[in-house]
Amino acid sequence: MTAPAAVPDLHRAYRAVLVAVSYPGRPVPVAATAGAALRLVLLSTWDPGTPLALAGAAPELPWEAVLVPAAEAELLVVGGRCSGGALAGLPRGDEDRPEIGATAVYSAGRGADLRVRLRGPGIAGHLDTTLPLDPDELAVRDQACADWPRGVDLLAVDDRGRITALPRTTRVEPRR
Amino acid sequence: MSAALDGLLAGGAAGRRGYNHAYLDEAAKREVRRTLLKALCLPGHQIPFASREMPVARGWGSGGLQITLATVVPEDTVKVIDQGDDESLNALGIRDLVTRTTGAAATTETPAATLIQTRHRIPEDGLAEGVVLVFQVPIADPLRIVDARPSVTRRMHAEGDYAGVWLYLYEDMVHHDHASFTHSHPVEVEGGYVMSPSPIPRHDVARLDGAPHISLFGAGREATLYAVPPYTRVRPLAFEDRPFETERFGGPCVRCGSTGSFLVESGGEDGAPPRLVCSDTDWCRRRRERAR
Amino acid sequence: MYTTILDQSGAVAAAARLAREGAIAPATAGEDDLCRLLPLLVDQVTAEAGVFEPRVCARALREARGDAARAVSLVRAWAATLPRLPECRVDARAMRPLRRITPAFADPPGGQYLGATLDYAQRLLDLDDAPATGPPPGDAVPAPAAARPLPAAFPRALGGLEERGLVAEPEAIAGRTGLRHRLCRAETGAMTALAYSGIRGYGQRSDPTLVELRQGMLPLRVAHPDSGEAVHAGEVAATLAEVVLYRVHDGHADPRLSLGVGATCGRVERRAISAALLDANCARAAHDASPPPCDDREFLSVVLDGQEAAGFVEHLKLPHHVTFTSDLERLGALGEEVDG
Repeated sequence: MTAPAAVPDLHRAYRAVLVAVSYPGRPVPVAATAGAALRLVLLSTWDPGTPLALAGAAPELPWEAVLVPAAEAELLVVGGRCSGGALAGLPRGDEDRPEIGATAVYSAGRGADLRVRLRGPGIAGHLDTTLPLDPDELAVRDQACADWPRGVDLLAVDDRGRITALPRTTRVEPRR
Repeated sequence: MSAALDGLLAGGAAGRRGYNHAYLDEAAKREVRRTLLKALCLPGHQIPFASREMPVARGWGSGGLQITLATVVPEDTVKVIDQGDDESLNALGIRDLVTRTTGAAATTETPAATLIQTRHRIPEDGLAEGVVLVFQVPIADPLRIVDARPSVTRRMHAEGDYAGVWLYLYEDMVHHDHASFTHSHPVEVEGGYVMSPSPIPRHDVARLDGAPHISLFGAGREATLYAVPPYTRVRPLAFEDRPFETERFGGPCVRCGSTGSFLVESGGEDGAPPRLVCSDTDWCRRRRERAR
Repeated sequence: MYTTILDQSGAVAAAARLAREGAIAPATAGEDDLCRLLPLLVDQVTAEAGVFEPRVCARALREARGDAARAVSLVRAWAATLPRLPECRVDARAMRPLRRITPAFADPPGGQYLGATLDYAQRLLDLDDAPATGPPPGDAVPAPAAARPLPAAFPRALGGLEERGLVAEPEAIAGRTGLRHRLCRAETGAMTALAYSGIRGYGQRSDPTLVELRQGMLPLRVAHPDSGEAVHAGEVAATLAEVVLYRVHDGHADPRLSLGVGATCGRVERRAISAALLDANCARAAHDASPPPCDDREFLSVVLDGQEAAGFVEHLKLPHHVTFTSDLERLGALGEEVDG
């Protein structure tokens, strides 16, 4: 495990997360590398004791995590752009506590980005952009978020150390 | 609060016996941060959180303060207002605590501010993208007027059952021909949750709809947070044939001549009627300076 | 129904003497002085803050100029910044008792020990300027040898009743543990008023009896960070009370006694008794549709936190001219309608 991050850096990392979630689809810089960005995002927002599920190419975690199956996780950390079905198994919340719907953080790495048009809270009109996700993964996400207010919320760290958010409120259409 | 803070901070810089950067312990910050993240994904939905003990009393902005301390960065320029006034004693104390425990800069000028904590007003200036506006909320649940019991109102929100508050408005129309809400007029947020905009006047409620900035709401005493993302639909509850009305004033601000801002009464000694002035003191002052 | 305690061998006078021991003339009072001068006020702050650190609570009282609510605020805010250790548990049975009374029984196993209390002393204000370092004139003080030392432990007075099947099993009622936690730190006056309202008749009629009240020092055990073994970490002053409700509640078929338990840090005993009463009331009324406040767990959970109550009531002193302008503007509109 690497040394703990400086407290002001954790503030900066979370502010990037906050801005990313407020303006879905727009990448927000966190750090110079994907690894550093992922570490800061996780350390600033989640606890070592957070029930966590892992998927994809095992990403490096900044703590000794409490690993649980996806169905019990509060946080899913995915190495890559595809969770191999873990996303589908995450809690989605219920009408009393929709906030129990989990968060999935992808360390997306290099790859072909999906071309999409986004609408919803945080977006003025519509936003034409790209997302660093597999198309199948996006389909799983859409299905998990089909029954508002239940759903899951996604964050993706790209290989430039920027974070992009896809909250359950965002409607996604593919585009050419 | 400043004298007490002097004594405590004199005990040592952060890292020794003094206070942590941004006062709150790291676990408390992370809990607020996780809650805010979900709040932005569920616009208008009230989410409980473990509200920490703060050096301001419950009811005096402890919730807003926890949001500010969890989200502030050292590069921020922080503005704190109470009733639109930067010089209110409570606002001064909060601004002092935030800037002294984080190194962030302070300002009274809205255009320079990147993070604003407010009690009961939205600044008259439009706020840009990326600006974080933190509202202090005394009573989080707009359904409190329907039922005092949180167990009952939580169920109503879960089921989207807002008949109670619509009935309240209907009875207003029958008896008074207009809504009896003065401030805190309930709003429906995109996605369907009905939310209290905090005790801002109706003049400000109308300005939440589709705003480019980020709105975060903290109720420390009630241990609840909620949020409205930018560019989100926020509509005050109103009947189609009885449109929502904002406040009307009998004249312009006597200091800057504005007719489009929220005014409050000032003065009125020796039998003279009180004059109307802008509640947003910074906005008013800049208008006067531009006019010279 | 209340039972009476008979004074035996001047125990009442001895108890009052113990309670007045160590009284000092109030000059410029330091923390230790305040702890000796106003121990029960310091205990109240300790209990409401939920922080057993009497000298810090005394200091807070001094800084708050005697305002208990503000002192509690200072202590809680201070404690919130301290690092937290892993939880430690206390066992009520391990309490080192300093006082034990059983109003329900005249002569229980283990006996009754008044300890240090002003309960039975006459409430006559002493206007004498001389500091009360000795017994008030006229009190016959028994020789120290006559005082019996307290046993190290007492059997639970309720035990006999439970064995005879006279106490209803505690129902697993949602929120009961949470309410008990809140009652531990509840505002003293608020809790007393609401408990009083229940006995006074505003609740469902349930005649309470205080079965046992114990005051003493609770040992704390924490897991040693290296060995993991439980080690003694200190003691906390505490008062525990057990109350039973008699009376068949309308529609509640079980004729057995209902038990309520209350606890407080420190020695302000009405806290523990009020808490036990409210706990018992709420358990009995758990299935009622609209219970009165003293039987309403949800109401009590909201209203009894002194910090929330004091803060919100006092927040009215903050500026409200914007919201009030909004109100006045409406009234102006209504005025037009009336003139019309």
